[in-house]
Amino acid sequence: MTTPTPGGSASPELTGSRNHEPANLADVLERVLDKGLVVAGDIQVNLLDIELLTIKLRLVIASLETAREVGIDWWEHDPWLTGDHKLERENRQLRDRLAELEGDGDRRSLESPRRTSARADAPEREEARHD
Amino acid sequence: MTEDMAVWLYAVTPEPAPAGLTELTGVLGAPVRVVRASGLAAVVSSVSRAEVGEEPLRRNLEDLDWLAATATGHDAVVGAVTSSATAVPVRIATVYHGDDRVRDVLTEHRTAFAATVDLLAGRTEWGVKAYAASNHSDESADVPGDAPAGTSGGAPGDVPGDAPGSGAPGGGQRSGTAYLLRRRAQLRARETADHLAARDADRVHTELGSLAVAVRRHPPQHSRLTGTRANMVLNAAYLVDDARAEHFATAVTELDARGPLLHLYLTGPWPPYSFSRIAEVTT
Amino acid sequence: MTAPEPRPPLPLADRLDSDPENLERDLVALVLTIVELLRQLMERQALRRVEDPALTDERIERIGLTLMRLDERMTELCDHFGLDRDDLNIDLGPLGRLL
Repeated sequence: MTTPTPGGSASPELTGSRNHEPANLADVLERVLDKGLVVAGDIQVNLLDIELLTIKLRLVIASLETAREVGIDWWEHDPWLTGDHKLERENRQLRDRLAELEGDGDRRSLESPRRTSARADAPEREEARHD
Repeated sequence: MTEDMAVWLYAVTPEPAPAGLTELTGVLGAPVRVVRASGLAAVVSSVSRAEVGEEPLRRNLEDLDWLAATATGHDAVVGAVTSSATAVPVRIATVYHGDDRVRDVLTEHRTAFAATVDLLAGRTEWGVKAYAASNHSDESADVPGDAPAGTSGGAPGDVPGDAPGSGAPGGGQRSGTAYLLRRRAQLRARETADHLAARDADRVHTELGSLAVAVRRHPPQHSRLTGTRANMVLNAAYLVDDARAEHFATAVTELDARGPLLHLYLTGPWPPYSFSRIAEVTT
Repeated sequence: MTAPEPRPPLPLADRLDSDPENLERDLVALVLTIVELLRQLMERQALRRVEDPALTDERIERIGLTLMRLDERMTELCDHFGLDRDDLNIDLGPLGRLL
């Protein structure tokens, strides 16, 4: 960092070279590309940020397509993401079914071993008959 | 002035303009010269319309190489002017159809230019950037669960834990739940760290601002340009009396040393780009 | 004096990088960044949902395992393409960074 000298703008002779620290490109660009105009030139230029942003957004959209093409598409099949609850419903039905069968199986081992394809209401009728 | 040339403006300074300007080389290799009107001197170059006409200019500004070279060249001339006189820097790509147009602008805005020169005289812009010191490498990345990926097995779409033989119920905490708890803790820690860093950045800005006559806060910089992944939490410009410049620099060093959360960097001296908005601007 | 011919604009591919290998890597990085964005969004949403006291432990465990697998998969993908996971990001200029 250069030591500032009084007079003019804190730096010595008019050498034609930049007197301030050779800061990185970002530092220079954000200053010379400032959106706040001092005066408007005759030639109108658009804000650079917006244009770079547009380029990047286009790349983002294109990249999702590319991902699908190379087989990265798990978000399309995961039921939790897709909101597809069909699989969950099936699982639930199967679990309920299993519970019934296991419950019926216990009772039937005591009473009648033949009725293995009992319907949901069968135990009640079974009991009702035995009342 | 030939038809195919336009005039590129660098800066405006009150007459008499500093000596030696015509020895400078400006953007696109063009020589530098001066256009005068209403007690003001405009530092300019003549450049080809093939480079700075509306269409080529828009194209060139999107070309990072052209932009970098031109920005550097523009800043070099501006810096040369402000190093020996008070001057109002102008942003790049401020192009006029001819010298007469430049004179018109000087005359039209002479009051505003004079006011800005008053503000800038005897003062310099300094830049301060602050990065959050925390690194986030302890997050996410490789978080091997207690159950390796293959245990839950099956095709995508299987609901883990429902396949027979999967998801050990025994032992300490189940791996999925443990993962969630870990992630939640990590995210909360990061939010806290970000919040603290931002708060510290605000304090630094306030304290440095008290040493300046004007401040301007810029958005954080493009990481592609800074070349670092670190989180920039402060990017500000301060207009400081030249007599206090050393005091300002010392304050930055002290603030950098004070807190563990931030790393501070001082850049400058800069031409006062960030403080050169003049009151009357035509759009 | 005649004006010099204006240079034709570089095609976007060249603007990304002149080296075809790097170009491919840049595109892969871009793709994976989007994937990572989705993963992070899902994870944050899941973390909010599991605060719901009505959720069963079973459900929470399932969500956690899914997210954990996704996280591991991301690491595998990055390794496979020779990318550093910490590098995945897109700078959207005034909007800040994507991740």
